[in-house]
Amino acid sequence: MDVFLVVALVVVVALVFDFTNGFHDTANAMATSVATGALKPRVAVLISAVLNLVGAFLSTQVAKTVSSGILNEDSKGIPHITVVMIFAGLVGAVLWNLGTWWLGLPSSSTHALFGGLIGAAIIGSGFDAVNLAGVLSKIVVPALLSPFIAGAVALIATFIAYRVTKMAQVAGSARGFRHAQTVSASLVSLAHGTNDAQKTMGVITLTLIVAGYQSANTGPVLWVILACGLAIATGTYTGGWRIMRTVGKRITDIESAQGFSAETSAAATILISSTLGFPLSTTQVTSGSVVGAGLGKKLASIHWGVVGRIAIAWVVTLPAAAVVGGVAAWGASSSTLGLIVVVVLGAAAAAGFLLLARRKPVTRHNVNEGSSGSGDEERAGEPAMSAR
Amino acid sequence: MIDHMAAAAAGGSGGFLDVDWNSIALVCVVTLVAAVAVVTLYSLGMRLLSIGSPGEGADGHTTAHGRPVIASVGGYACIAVGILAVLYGIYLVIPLFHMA
Repeated sequence: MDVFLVVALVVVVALVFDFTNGFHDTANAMATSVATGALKPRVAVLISAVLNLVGAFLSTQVAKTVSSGILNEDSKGIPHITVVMIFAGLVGAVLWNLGTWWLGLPSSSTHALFGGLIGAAIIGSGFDAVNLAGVLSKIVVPALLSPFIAGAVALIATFIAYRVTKMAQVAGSARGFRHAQTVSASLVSLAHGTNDAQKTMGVITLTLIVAGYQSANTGPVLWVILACGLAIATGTYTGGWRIMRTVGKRITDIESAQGFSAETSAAATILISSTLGFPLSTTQVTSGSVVGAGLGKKLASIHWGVVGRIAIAWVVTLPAAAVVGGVAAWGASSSTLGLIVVVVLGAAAAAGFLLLARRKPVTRHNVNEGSSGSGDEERAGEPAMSAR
Repeated sequence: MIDHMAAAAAGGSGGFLDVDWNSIALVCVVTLVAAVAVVTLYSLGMRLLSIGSPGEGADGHTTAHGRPVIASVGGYACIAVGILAVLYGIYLVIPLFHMA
């Protein structure tokens, strides 16, 4: 098949992935603001979308990590991967993202993306294709530590905020924290653009380098930055109400002061990491900081059962997406027919998840309702988990 | 508890991996200083501005009569410094401003 056609296919699927990423991650930035009533849902997603787009232009360090940090390169600086394998990896990532979105789990779009790519590279070119040291140093270790860093800082910040304002009981503090939370949520959106939009840019840049359209070890070009920024912003605007409810209401019943502390900690963690080129999972960082903010006020109000489900999704995401990406690579690399079969099956599975999700939609109208979740048995167990 | 878990994760995989621990330490320190400073400044500002307000009512619409001038000045100063700290932080992370 013509290289140009496959490259075009990769770019389209990458932008779709970027869209689902924005769709998935609106929750991270705006969930607590919507849950506390600081922002109306529609305004929240609009601000978030615009700032995601701005953030995409601010810093492209993370894109460079993705395009030249996780795969081994030959003497000319070309990574050991083919365009078809990148495509297969993307299919794995998109399917995993849609699946966890349907389940309402804030799993990491980042890990889904890297898992898919790594799986495809291993199946396609063997274990030598993956730069294991690079993956550990730049992805796995920062990914493991960042939620704890953000969580610990959020805990301290929340504790101080409550101490200084007498448990947020001083006059004007409710309104004051709501305003502050709006600003901090906006910062998280900006940080999100500097980190998550970059990952898709990195993948498209990697594709262009492998296909020979761009010289090795260069950063993303302007049209790539623009397209990725727009895709993630559109996805963000379209909204991820389903996940917003898990983060905002189910982990802990969050107040404005906690939301402010959590978001400030998360934004600081992500912004500094973006500058250093660490592609963090913004999902994990935000979830970590929300848990920290919950602990900072009172330990008992955390719904540990929900935290456990999210933690399992974190652990499983990278390997699971790697398996899907690997299988897709195996099919797509065999022949043109195999590639077409992967395209059709991937599209069918994606459509299936969307149809399943429509049966119990979570929209801006019921985003703050506690009930009618994705699983009724889980609701039944929840009062026992929240030891209050 | 979270600190212990983070330390265990760090200690468990250290030594034999080619991990840039300095950068990760930098992430920890910058996050801690920036977030705690911003939250503390803003909270202090609100605490100072609440001095002299009648009642314990947590929701807005309180008038500022009876608040000492020094509390007003200090309160607004805290909030202003907090906002400036955020803007400075954003300025620092944009490479475009540091090309020269």
